[in-house]
Amino acid sequence: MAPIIHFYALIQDLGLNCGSKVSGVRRNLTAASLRPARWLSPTNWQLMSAQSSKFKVGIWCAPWYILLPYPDITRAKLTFSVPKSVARRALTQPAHQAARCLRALSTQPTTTQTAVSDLAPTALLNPSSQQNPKPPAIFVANAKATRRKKPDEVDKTAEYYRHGQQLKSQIGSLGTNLEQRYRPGDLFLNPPGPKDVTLELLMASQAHMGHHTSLWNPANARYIYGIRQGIHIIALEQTAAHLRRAARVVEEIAYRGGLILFVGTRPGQMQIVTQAARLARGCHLFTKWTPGSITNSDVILNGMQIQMLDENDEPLEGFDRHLIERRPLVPDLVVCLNPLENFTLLHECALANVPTIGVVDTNTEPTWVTYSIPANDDSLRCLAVIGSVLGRAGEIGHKRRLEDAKLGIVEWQTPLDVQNFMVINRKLAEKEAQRAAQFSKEEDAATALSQYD
Amino acid sequence: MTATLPYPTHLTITTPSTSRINGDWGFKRPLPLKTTTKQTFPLVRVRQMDSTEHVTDFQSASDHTMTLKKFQELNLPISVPERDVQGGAPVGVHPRSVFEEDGDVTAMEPAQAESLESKRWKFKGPWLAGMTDGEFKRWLEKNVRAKRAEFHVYLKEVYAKELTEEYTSQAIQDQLPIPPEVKAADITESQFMDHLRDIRQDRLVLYRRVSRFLDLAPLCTDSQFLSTMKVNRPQEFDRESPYGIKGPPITHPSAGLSYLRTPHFIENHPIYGPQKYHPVVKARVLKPRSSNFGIHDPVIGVAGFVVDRPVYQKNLSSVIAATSRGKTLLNLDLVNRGGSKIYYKLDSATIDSGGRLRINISDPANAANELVVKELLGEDNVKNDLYREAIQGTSSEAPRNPNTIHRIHRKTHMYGSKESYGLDKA
Repeated sequence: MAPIIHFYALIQDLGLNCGSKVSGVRRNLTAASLRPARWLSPTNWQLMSAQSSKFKVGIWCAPWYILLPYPDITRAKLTFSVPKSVARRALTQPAHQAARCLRALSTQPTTTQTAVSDLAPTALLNPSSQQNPKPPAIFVANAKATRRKKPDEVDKTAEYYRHGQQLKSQIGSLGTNLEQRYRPGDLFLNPPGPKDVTLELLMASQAHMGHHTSLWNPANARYIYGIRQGIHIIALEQTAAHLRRAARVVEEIAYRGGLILFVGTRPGQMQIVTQAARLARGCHLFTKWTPGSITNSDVILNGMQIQMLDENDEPLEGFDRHLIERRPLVPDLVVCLNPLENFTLLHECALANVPTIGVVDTNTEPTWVTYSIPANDDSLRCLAVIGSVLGRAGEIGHKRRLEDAKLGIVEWQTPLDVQNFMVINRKLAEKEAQRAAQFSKEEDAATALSQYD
Repeated sequence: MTATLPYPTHLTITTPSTSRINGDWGFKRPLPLKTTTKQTFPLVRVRQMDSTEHVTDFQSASDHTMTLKKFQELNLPISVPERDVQGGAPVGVHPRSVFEEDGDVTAMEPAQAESLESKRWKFKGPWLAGMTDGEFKRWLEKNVRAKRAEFHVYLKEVYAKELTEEYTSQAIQDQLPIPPEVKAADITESQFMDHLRDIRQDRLVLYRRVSRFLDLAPLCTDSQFLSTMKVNRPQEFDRESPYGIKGPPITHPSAGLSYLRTPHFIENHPIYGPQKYHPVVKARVLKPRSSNFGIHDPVIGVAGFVVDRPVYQKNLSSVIAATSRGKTLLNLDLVNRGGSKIYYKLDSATIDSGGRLRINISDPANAANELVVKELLGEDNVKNDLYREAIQGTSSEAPRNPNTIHRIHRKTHMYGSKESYGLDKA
């Protein structure tokens, strides 16, 4: 009959928690009679040495018990070496617990049976009673578990934090710096300006990719660098030069207080044109161009709101009558991201002498626009770069204009219709004043007369 | 790329997820989101950057890319093809890496080119055995006929060198002073014609002269003409080139699939530590043997490739057929998804002259190795048994903490059942 050594009681009494370790179990058996112990649970135990006449048992998880199947176990002497701190804690336990502990420590295997019987639920020893120690309660799942008392622990958060900070100060500067070169949202969060136009940026944003070679317009031959993988490659030097020129045009028109219209009517271009218009304080169009909006604007744009501003962009009073009866505005510059789909617009601009800037892909007719930018008009990334560069250029122009206006420099002239209105208005005002003066004279005379009455 | 090509011909292109949601793959126009945003791995191959219909012609490249990933997971180095393909089991033959310095040479001196003839994989001339009649005629007309005079000069030089060696050895034998070196210009026309007539009869020598002059890919024909060798004309025989039987590869013999140089590295197991053997791999029985349909060898696939097995393991004797492995190879499995699976040991991988990857596998020699692999994959059913026991409550394990009531957690609680009212415990 193999005796059972009940480690569980021992460990409970010693106050060992999970993860603590009983350092050693020494047996005074001869090497010949040494056989490995049989584990009841192979998961929680480690058998480390079988070469010497010692073996160590490490308790890593929950406390457990071990069965030693030696017939001559009565002659085996079991000694436990317990860490000092644990032993000290064990001694400070209440007297009855300590007594149990000592008893367990000095147990001879023969007396273990009696020692064990009063230590733990008998259920453990008896496999049949282990199955069902209590009749099961009804609705066990709903029963509230009794709260366990949490062990009193010192809050070490501050200490850990300080340690972390110290570590960071020591090794924080080590390692590689991960540089993020491209984020898709950057074009809208931090739009590039005319100064940021490089061949690298243009190439990264796919500006060089033209159309299938069979789709080309030979008028674009001077912008084409070569053929690769069946498509024309646009010369990026040309693109950059034309883009800078267009940016300069936008900037100067903005400096002279011009109205710029950004047009991109393909799906996905809405964000691009709205951003460009916001930067350049212009207008945007991302839906269909209503034909005749320039050449027949009296009909189509009749009754649209207009505001009159002075050189400092402050609203002006006294132009209500003019604003009601004046003709609709015509943009001073049109930037078109997809000229191929907006021929009507470009044609109207040409008729109305409105300069146009257009992104010209290899299949587009470059003469439709005044200032062409040879680039890929299918890639949204490329159009976002072009749109933001032109928008930034407009922003720069407006900034310059307002700065100069503060110094009294105004580089633009009042539109002719407004000038005429002002002349007429002034004359009317003069006449009014004369009449008012006359009237006041007559009135003065009348009052004087009435005084003498 | 066509279905008949065994290798991919187009680049696989990927993009970060931040750009993929915008359709930005770096091409002319954004790719449509509906077809490109649902895949786990963004992989695309472009067949036309732009077409006359104004669309970018692309398709998914997951097929080849995932196959490559699966192949690289096998950790298999590419080796030089075996020299003898007589069908016998290669005993004690260790596959040689294609990256061995002596064979993996492409830029070399003429002398080096001659010495590396049986090792290198790159040749200027074609592999005659792989040419069709028309190709051969065209090649003769275009490349060979123009070199007639050059070949004569070459032959004269070689003949002069041969004569010099002969005279020297003769002089040493007769203990006479060593005669001066014979130069190509010293050889008279009639002497040369005699020599030409002579080597014409000796096919071994003639082929060597021609192949060295044109740098032809090697043919394994030396042994056929041993009987035609002339007396008193010694020949050196090197080992036959590994590319003599099936032709030289069309790319570098590794094809860039694997850059491992050796299979002799130690695999580490998370529990059992370093392992003596590489883990066996799970193979799929693509076509089990069925004599009705004329499939006499079961077709087996590993990592997306149809693999080769040694001939001696192919014949399924009745003894083997009765084993579970034999049954897997014999019977069509309609129950398991993808058919039946079977574990095999990986031996080597080579690229053949057509650019096809050949993986050689054999039956696993070590049963424990297979068990270890199965255990790691959770296929050994040990865990399943444990779980089943735990669920049924018949576990022989004692509870970890005896203070708690022994409760079976994995059991689903049924309200209002016999058990919940405690009626099942009499």
